[in-house]
Amino acid sequence: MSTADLHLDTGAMALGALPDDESEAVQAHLQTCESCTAELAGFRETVAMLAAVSAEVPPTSLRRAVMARIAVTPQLPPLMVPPVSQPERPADLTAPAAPAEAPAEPPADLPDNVVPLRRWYRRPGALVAAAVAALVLGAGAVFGINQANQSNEVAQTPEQCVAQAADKQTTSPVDGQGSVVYAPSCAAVTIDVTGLPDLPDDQTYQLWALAGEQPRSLDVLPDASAGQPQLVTKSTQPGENAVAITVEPAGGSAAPTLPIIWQAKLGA
Amino acid sequence: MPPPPDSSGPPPQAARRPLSAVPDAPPEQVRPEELMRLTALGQEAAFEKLYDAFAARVFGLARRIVRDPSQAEEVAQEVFLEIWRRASRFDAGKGSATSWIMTLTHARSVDRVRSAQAATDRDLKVAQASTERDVDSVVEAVESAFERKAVQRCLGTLTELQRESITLAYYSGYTYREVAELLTAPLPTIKTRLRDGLIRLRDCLGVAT
Repeated sequence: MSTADLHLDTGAMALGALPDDESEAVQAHLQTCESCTAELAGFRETVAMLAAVSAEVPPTSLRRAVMARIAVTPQLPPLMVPPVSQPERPADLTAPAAPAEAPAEPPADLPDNVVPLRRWYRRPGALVAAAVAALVLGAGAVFGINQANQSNEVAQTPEQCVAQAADKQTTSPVDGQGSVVYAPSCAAVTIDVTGLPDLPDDQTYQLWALAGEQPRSLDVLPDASAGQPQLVTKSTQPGENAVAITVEPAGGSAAPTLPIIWQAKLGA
Repeated sequence: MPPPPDSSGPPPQAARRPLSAVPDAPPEQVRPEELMRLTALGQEAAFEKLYDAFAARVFGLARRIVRDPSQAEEVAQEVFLEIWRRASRFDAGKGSATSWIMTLTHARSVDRVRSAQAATDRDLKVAQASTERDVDSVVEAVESAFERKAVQRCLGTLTELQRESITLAYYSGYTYREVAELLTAPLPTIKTRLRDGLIRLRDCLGVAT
């Protein structure tokens, strides 16, 4: 792709309209193009204002759900700069699948990504440095960050979080095929459903999270209902200890219709 | 505007303040960047103010993109949870809190659409037709009426082609390639339209560069 094209990409990138396979080249270009970086920053602020037009008062249930969940959700530690002794990496800053290195490599358009802790970290002290190094590696492994598209690295999806979580635990369904990967640190679970028989059009598989006996609908499974494997990642809530699948009328049900045809524990 | 009373069983925090989806104070009173900083320190009260300031914009954008209200609510919940979890990673030196939050919201909404896309095979033509109407269907009782008016006025200064492309990319969550497909225009043309349109919007809205 020519440089001229890369100059044009700032608009699409700010709008979140650049496919992943193109944003890497743009990120690399931004490193060497100050005017592009400045333009992108201005575009991002502009684009953020577009959301004023679509604003819509949410149901009050949203506020209750959010406040209830944050009350039991731990916060991530700040990112820190790795020790100076850590070898410099080449400029492949956009590689989203390199979690342990992500904190060491601020995104191309955000060269100074870690200001608050950087100041703290630069205080002398070998012990501090060692602790920081351990934390950086730990945080990287758990919260590997996809910075290809986003400012302030907000782009990690629950899928990525689960895939990279240090505390992920894989379980198998009680009887059936597939697997369940649960990561408490992400409050999310990735479920690989496979081997379920094709359903008639007026029925669907529906996935539930169970807190003891209490079910919560996670989603319907259209691919699985068509006899195909289906991979989904869903947020979990405190107390939930299993996932289950039932057969429901097309569109899904508010409460599961027994029997449960597929079930797996969350965690070992 | 006074918040409407809540009739559906207040949670514990309602003891301190009335439960409302409508902000009861202009968000500008405390800058969102300061609220992010305090949220990173674990202050739930600051997070609550962030919620009040952004709930309508987060939910509204999610709703616009994913369309289904209950899915939009799920996306909005994920977004706010992520704001809470990742607040320490926000750096005001890199951009505004508004930009950070809305970028996150847009990304998560598009993720949701794309993960559902194989199943539902979204009808592009329907979506295209409805975006036009959507730009004008504004919601009252949100905190940023002034900004909304400014954005609408500035969207009106774009060429029809620029506005169409930006609307499809942002409010419908399409990639520029999909926009090009929908509008049967060459890829570089769409990139240029998006960029030129944003330059015009940026200047109209007075965004500092």
